[in-house]
Amino acid sequence: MKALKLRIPIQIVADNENDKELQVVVSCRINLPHVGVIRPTFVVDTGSHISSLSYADAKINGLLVTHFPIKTSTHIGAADVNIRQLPEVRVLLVDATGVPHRFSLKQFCTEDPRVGSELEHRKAETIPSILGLSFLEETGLRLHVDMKNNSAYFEL
Amino acid sequence: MCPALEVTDDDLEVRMLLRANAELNWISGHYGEILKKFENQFIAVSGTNIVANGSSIDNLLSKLNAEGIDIKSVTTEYITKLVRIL
Repeated sequence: MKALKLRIPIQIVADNENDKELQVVVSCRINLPHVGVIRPTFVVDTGSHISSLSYADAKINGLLVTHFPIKTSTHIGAADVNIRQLPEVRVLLVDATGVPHRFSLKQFCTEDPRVGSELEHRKAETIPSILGLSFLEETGLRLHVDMKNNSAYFEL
Repeated sequence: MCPALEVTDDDLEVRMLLRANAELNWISGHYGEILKKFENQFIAVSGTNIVANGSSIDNLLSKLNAEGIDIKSVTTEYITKLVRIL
């Protein structure tokens, strides 16, 4: 007998005014140190290993990112940012039957602009929160995306 | 099974996430018209209403605070006509 698979639907939405330019996104709830539960939206990005809460989402939720150690520096989009390591966080996602599931992430990061100019802050603010390969690695979830049929989900 | 996984039964958490998904879908479905009004701005959406907008996150937060709206109760999005390449 085949075991039932856990399936967590995620969304394929327009990235801009052209509804043919799409991105895969997922809303989740995260329990953040010093902040509590927040509700960011992540772009699923398999071109990134890092999973990161964006500078904008950190600011929105009052997370003082400079409290956390710099893991590395990199470019995301057009912005030059520090990647900062967060303590272990808990992420909540809802499966196709409406049941919530929590996952622990030890490799979860946040970011801030590496250069202090207003322009760099502005660029950094426009970067979305990202779920990269580290998320799939830590949770064991598999990513399924069927662009032609507008279907996307995580599966375990 | 992943050892990090556990199942809970918290209806409030589920409702909040389903609402966030609905707000994301609404933004996606109305992107063209939102763009006409709010290009290069951050918006905050509650249900099917744009409750605040700002040219920066700080500006958006100020407006939400002035209106007494809890930032954790809304979905925020940066509106741009540029294609996002990470």
